[in-house]
Amino acid sequence: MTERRTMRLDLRDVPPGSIHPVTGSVCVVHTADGLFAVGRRCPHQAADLANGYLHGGWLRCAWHNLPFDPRTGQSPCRSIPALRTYPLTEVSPGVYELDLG
Amino acid sequence: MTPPLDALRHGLLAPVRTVSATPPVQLNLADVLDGEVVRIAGALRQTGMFDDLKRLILDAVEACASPHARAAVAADGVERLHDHLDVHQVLLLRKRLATGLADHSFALTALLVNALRTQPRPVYVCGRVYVRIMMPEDVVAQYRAMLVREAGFMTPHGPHLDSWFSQGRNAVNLWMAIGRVSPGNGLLFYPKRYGEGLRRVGEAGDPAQYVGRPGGVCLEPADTLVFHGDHLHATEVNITDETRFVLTTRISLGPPRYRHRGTGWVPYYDLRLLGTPLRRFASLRSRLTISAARQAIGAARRAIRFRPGTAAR
Repeated sequence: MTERRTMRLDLRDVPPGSIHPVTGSVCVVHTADGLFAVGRRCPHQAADLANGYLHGGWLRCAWHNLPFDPRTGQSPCRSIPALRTYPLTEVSPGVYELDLG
Repeated sequence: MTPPLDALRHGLLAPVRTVSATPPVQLNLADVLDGEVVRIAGALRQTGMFDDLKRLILDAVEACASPHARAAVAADGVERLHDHLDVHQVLLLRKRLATGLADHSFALTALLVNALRTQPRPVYVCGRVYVRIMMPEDVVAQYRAMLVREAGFMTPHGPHLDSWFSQGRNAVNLWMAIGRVSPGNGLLFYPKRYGEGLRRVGEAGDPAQYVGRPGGVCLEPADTLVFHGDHLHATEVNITDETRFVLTTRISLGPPRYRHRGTGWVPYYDLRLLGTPLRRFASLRSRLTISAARQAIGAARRAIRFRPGTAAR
């Protein structure tokens, strides 16, 4: 049986409306609906989504403005593969466990 | 719950000043080089070119597809081009128009430039018209391999400065909307300060770097957007269900100043000399540059390398 990789993250300093890189490949997005962890690599042309921005609940890649739903990783463009999403569980106020699978 | 789709239709907008197209158009190209982005409302209509351009485009649609497609595009607008032509036909259309418009490029640019107020320096014109047809991403996605050489024309180009390739550092873009341009299928502008010091490979920026938060633009058919070629800009992936159809050309305030490490070179012509007996000398200032010499040497090398009988040796 393979062991799941997890990470404990203190996200108290991540303000709403911001994107916070937590590893080389994962970032945490703080939307009005909560915190979500997604892959940093944009599936379109590999730009770093940690350099993107949030607008109207969408995570936007700054390179070509592609939007993604931070909860599901889906883009409204059906031809764009979804971002990988990672379970993020609050274990104490402001402290989360990131499940890297 | 998925974020509201309405938020995508009302994305962040770049600061754009709108001016009337009635001559003299109140636009100073020196301000554009300083970062101002200006929309000349209805510029193509004011100059009387819009209907001619649309007719030329419809003729090309008929030649590349069918009379039925022409009638359908005429009725529905170029925004619905992808409903009536497939990607192969649109590629053919783009190439056909690029060739067909070459004959009109100086006249087109001169009409626009002559409508502007007096400029602080002489204006040089590029003499090329580029046809940019961005269909919805879901339509073109499966053809990416076929369209690999169409970045910026039929597929999105990432954040860049035009002087990275063949343009002068003082080039100004004239971006002419044939159809509607809206947030979600347009052009993105980044804060100008991010244009300096970017890492790049050839004509493309390294996508791992921070470029700031982009803003989009809204244009109506016949509008012309004027912006500095070295204002960091990119194509927005088309997430709408409309095709974005624009023609672009470039002018230069003063003789073009090329970047020493640009990937190419194009000549610019002194507008004052075109149409005079001195027209042969109109592009002299841009030809007497290091970039022009480098381009000529590169072309000569390629010609020698591919000369029949020598390539195999």
